[in-house]
Amino acid sequence: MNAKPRGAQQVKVALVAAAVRLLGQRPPHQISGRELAEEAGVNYGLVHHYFGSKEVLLQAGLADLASSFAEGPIDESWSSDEPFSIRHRMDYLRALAFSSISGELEGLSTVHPVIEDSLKKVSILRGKGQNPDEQTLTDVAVGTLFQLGWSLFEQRVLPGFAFDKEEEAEFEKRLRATLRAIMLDGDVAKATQATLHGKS
Amino acid sequence: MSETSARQDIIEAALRLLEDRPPSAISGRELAEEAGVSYGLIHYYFNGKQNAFLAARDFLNQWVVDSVMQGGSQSVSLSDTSDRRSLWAVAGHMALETSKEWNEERDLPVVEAYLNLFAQTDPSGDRVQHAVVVASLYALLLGRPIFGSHNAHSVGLTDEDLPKVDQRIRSLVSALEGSVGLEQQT
Repeated sequence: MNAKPRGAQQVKVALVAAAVRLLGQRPPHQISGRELAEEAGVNYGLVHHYFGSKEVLLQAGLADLASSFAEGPIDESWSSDEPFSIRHRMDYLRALAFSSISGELEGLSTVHPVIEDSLKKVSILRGKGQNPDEQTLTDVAVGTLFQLGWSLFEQRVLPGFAFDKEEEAEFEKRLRATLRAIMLDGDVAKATQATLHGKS
Repeated sequence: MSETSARQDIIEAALRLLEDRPPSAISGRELAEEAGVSYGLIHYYFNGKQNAFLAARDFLNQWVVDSVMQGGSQSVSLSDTSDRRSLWAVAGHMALETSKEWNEERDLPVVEAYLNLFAQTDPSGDRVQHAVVVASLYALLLGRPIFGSHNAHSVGLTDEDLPKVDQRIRSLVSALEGSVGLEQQT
């Protein structure tokens, strides 16, 4: 174990890191202030001292996940605005999934890089600029739930297809084409059938 | 209480608890209490809580194939998943259980039922396409109840707009199913 965190800065950092870890393990309502303190290795009273409540600390944990996801990795091996980028950050996806299933996400988080990036990009591609119309908003809502939904279930479902490497690459291409068709109101049936030209 | 009904009570209790949290966050004692049986019975029937949860997952999957998919002869609709928390919340929590021992058993009756169905409706189709359609249906039909209203609110839509989101998903599902020769369901 590390030395006990000392001083305001260290204690806050340790508590947020504890929130990040526990948010990836179970729904927010199953995480107590005492567990957060124990996970951080600090006294329980410090949760309230620095954050006021357990909820505020969990909000800080989700905000930390969102911003580190949006920044992407130091080596720039992937970028948050590419399709299915959430796969690279299963810790963030897990936190989103647990708190979304329990209905707590909207109370805990106001920043959503996956959704905001998609909306910006799709709105421009559809010629709506800064003022997306209702159809664009609907398609982005559906496109992002498609990305998060598949990212959550792919590890479980993919083995059922028993693909070789080549098939798996083709599958991924067409899945991206399908996502693109959802976001841009294109032909999804066609997207599943053939690899489209150009970038996915 | 007969033997088989105690076993079934444990499975149903496991499914109720799984609506709320992942199996790793549920103790064997909580499961026994929820089922109204002694902890020893969970060991007697399942040799521990882990196999009890796996049995619950298998039971749910088989129920989807037998009842919702009518023995694999039809696909799952958006209301089949959205209206049943007992289905999507459990599926989500089981998918979130990633430790190795939970995933060694790779029985996927729903995926298998879909692939068999598409092999009949689209006998000349290619298997990659069939897989893309299965994956897309999973993503839409389970993504909607898990992430849908949150995502809609995040782009600035309100609850009143949710029927439009559902309508869009239904039209995507029917286009995807049509691409593998499945007749649109009423």
